[in-house]
Amino acid sequence: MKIKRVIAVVLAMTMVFAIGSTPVFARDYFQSWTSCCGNITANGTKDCSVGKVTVSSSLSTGQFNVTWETKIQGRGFNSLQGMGWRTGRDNRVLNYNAGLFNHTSGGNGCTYFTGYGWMRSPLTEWYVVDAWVNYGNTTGTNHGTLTSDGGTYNVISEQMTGANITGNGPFLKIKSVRTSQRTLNQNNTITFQNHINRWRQVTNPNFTNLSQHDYQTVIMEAYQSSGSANATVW
Amino acid sequence: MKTKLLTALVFLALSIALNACGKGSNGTDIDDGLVLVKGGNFINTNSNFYGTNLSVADFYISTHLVTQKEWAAVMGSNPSEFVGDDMPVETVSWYDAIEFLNKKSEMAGLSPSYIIDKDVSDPNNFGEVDDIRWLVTIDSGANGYRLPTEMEWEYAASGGQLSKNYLFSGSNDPDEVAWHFRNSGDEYLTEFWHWGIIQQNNGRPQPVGQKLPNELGLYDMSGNVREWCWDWNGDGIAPASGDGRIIKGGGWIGQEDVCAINYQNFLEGHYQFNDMGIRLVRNK
Repeated sequence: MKIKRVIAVVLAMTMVFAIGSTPVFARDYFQSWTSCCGNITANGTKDCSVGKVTVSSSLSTGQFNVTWETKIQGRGFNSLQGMGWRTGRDNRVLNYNAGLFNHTSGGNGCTYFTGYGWMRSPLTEWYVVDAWVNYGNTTGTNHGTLTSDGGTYNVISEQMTGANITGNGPFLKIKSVRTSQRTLNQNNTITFQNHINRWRQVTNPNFTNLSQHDYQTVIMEAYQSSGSANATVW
Repeated sequence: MKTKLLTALVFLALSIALNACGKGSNGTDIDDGLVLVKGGNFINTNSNFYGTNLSVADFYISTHLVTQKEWAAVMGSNPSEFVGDDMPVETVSWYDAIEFLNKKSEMAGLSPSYIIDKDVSDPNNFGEVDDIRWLVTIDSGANGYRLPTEMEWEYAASGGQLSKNYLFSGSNDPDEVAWHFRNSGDEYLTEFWHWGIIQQNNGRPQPVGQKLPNELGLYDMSGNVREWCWDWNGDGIAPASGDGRIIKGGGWIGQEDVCAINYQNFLEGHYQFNDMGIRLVRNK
């Protein structure tokens, strides 16, 4: 009886600790998508005429692994994996440890790791681009730089019209693009608060009251390239 | 099964009982498939108008979104991207809708609801990119077809006096009543919203009336295509000016939450998007 009581107390204390502290692995969403082969919910392979993707993932550990192959250059093969949170927060620190291996690219192919998400007021798609292979020039209005997490980021915004989380219509896009990219295979952080603070100060007044988070993730996107990557997000 | 059958019978009976057979200007009956919505104040607590003293008068509203067949019968052509007779008309601007409604009224022997002056740029239009800007005013004495006001749309979507207090029009489960980005394609999507994913999944609008109706027998008030309303987007209720027109209901591209009855959004009136359609309303 006493042993049971002790176990119960220990369990209760563990639960209190778990609830009262910030969970290390608090992601609640994983997604994987390929432009030609369809979706992969969590684990599996999709193989089609222009590309092939194999994915494994675990929400509980925060890890995902992916290999992708562009079979025909110029056919727009695109692969995206991401992990994160259904509802973002200004003060969330996006932690990740990502590795990119055996990357090959033809033509305009590229691969990049980025913080990614949406905000509702005003409707805004955002990126914090941290690491890449062949990441091209970003169009839009340049708003200068910000410093965060040991590096400098260029801040660029653009007015868009098209499909978005509410339907078709106008929306804003804002990006922080690191000027010298992150070292991979080590723990990295994206302190989102630094970015949103700076975004609220750019010359476009639409961003002044940027608020109301939708989802907030770390994603890896590959376009017309082949390679393999793994990442842990927490 | 019994419950579903009973529900269907109730809606059938309700539809017959409320079916509008209004009088045209020449005194003939018009069997146009609209149903009478009994007016009143807002009893759905999810509504933006709940708890106010605002109420709406009785009006007629179509149970279905305007279909492509209905649009083409009036306008002679179909602007929609996803073609099908029973599909909702889409890729129509607010101005296209106004012209359609007037023309449909005339064909039905009703007096047009809108006075359109294409030569005058509307001074109340504060939109930044609208390149049409016709001056459009309401003929308050007309008995023709028109767009719902925002209040009328939200009142009808919320179930009117028959409201069961749902967040979406007819249910608290969006999948029961609405086509949205997750369920409007080949497979049910569990991912974050992503346009590439939706395209890959062949996301598209769906034939009208396939989901459950709401308490008033209205289909697709939540989801499928978003619906133009008459009102300006501006300060206060029914403002006299604004930077666009109110849109309601959410559609096949957007997330579930934009299909809620209380979600507020607007677009400048010139936009023609493949997730924008309309629904008919007439005065009682």
